[in-house]
Amino acid sequence: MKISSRELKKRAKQKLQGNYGLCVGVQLIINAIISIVLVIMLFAGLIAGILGSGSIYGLRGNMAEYIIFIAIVVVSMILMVVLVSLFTPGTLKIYLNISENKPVHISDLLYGFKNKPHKFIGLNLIIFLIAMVWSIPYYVVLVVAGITNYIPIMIVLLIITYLLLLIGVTITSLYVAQSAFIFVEAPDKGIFRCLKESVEMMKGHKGSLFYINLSFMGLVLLGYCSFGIAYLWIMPYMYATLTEYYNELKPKLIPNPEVYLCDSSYESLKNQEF
Amino acid sequence: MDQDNQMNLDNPSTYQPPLKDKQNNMALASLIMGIIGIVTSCCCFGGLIFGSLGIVFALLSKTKDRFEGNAVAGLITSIIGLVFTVIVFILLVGTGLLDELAAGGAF
Repeated sequence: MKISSRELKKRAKQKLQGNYGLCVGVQLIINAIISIVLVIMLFAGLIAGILGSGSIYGLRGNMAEYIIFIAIVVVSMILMVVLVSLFTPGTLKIYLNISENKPVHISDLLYGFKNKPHKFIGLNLIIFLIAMVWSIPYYVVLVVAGITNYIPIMIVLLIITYLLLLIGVTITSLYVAQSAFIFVEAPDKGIFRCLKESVEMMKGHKGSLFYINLSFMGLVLLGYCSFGIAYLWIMPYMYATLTEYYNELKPKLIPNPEVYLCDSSYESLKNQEF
Repeated sequence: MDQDNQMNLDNPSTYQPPLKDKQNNMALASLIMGIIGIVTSCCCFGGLIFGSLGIVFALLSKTKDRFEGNAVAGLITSIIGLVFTVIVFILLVGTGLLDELAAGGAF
């Protein structure tokens, strides 16, 4: 890719000018919905704990209480994956429209709900499962270390497998980073085709995407300092930059191939019958 | 053709003033946040929140090669607000006032 990350960021900021209201509103809606779901699940967990043993902490809880708690955690995780999977396409659609100077509406946020929602959930689930595969060695070593009472060799193995998990998840996420964009632009494509195209696109460009993601570190720290308020503006900026990156990376399609492929020489035009 | 041009030149309604750059709202927001950050720097979290927001707004307002005047002012005031916050925090910890505040009041 010839263009620098600085140029991409400048473009993103220019495109976002005048659209911050909508983008911040979108972030606010998504965060509010996810927070409401999480708070409901938290209260459900608390009520289950209180009903189970009469105490919030449930230190002397029985097996049934433990199973209810695990079930609530699993259900909330599934709900989170589903919600994120359904809201992400809408968000990406909004940023793709902003990037292409098309009109943007808040109703675009429901794009994932209207266009094959099961496929978007499937895509995120597959990416989640691929990431989970990397964590298998870590958890196996963790269990063995627990059994052997954390002997030094197991601690070394734990660190190595943890590093493997980190590197594996990072590389996988870099490879599949563009699959959501591809899917939003063409929801008729299959899940695996999107993943394959994303991998093809990212070949030789993983470093640049990693660098762009790393360059947001300062802003992310400032977001933490503002207790998350600044994320309402930082997230649109990050999304817009990544959209610009995708637009720069995607294969440029010729809009009307006949125009380009036909012989436009003087002789051919002269011989053409009208 | 020449006549038309002549007529257009004579017509005062065709005069257009030089285009001015549009006011960048983010830069202005950065300045406001920076000022509020300095004012609220005596309360730890106020200065931290508004100072961070001011810096973020200043960075996001840079759509050209250089910062706007308001953005520079916002950046400086936000950094001053953050520095004041850190100094106030160190003073509070150093004098032991933080523990007393947490216990229910220093005065």
